[in-house]
Amino acid sequence: MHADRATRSVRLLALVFMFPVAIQGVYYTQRGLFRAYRFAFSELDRWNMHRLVDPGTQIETAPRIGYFLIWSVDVLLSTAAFGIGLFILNRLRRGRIVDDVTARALGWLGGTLAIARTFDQVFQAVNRTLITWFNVAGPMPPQWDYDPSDYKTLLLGILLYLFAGVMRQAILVERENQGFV
Amino acid sequence: MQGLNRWIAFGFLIAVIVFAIYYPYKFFSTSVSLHLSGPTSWQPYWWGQNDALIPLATRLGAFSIYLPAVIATQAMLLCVIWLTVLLIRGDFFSLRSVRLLTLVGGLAAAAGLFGLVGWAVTDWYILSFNPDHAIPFKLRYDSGEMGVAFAGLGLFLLGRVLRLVMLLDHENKEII
Repeated sequence: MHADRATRSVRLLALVFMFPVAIQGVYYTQRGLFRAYRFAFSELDRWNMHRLVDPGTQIETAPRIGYFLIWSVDVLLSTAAFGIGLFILNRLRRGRIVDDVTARALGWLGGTLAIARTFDQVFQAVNRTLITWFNVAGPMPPQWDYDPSDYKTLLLGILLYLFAGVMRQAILVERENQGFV
Repeated sequence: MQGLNRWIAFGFLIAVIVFAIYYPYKFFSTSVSLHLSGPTSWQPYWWGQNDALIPLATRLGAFSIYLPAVIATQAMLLCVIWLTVLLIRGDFFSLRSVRLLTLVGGLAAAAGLFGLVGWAVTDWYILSFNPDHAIPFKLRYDSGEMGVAFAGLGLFLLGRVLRLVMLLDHENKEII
């Protein structure tokens, strides 16, 4: 009786969460990729006239492609996390809750979130080195940019990964008991 | 919890403790010098007027806007520490740890939302005292704070799922 009610509540919550996750996943991806594309290709002066770049420097195509690829990886890692999140929510919505695939996917979600946030911090740090690569005095050294929200998400991602392991163990125990029943 | 995951949990616990100390230290050291160091503390910045003397009550207002996000984050970090200790001890499949996990998720979602609103209100509030830069209130998209809120929702849901697994296990045990 309690379990039925809890199942219905999880399925409903999963359905409700699917909409904001899908909207945020699409918006975040298009916004992130568009920003990188605009800086690298469509508005050339954004880089040429950047306050850290020597006046008159013209940035060639190869480093622009490199910049775009690096930031694309950063954005797409988070997109992957949104995709895995939607996959899990869809499984929960369909009632596949006490399920090994769902538990594994939760572990992947936690791991992907943690990797995405770590990469974001690293890319933020090397960003100004990349931008100033063609300065006469040479590129500026990487600079660590403290972003607490990156660290919070990283910690929550690791916690999600650890508890996905707990869920897999719990499912094993539940299956054993089911066998006795 | 055994093997690699136990070591990950140990490393994780140390990282969370370090962050739980550094995060409020960094926030308060920055905010106190920015808002509470004197009536001229806003002058050096682009959003402050060169000759304006800002009363303490106004600066206290600016100081306190982001506090709910910091308090929610700090409560979340303390719960994460407690939860990780339970995890390392092996007390991970209990009602207490599942409730704690749900609470961590809720606090993280609240921290993300408070942060999102907090930045927008801070900008609007501070600039409203400068006639040259006053802006209407507007929520800004911050992918970092949104990420925290969504990760919180994920943990909240995982807490509900684990509670369901516990209920099913309990029902099976009763039958046995």
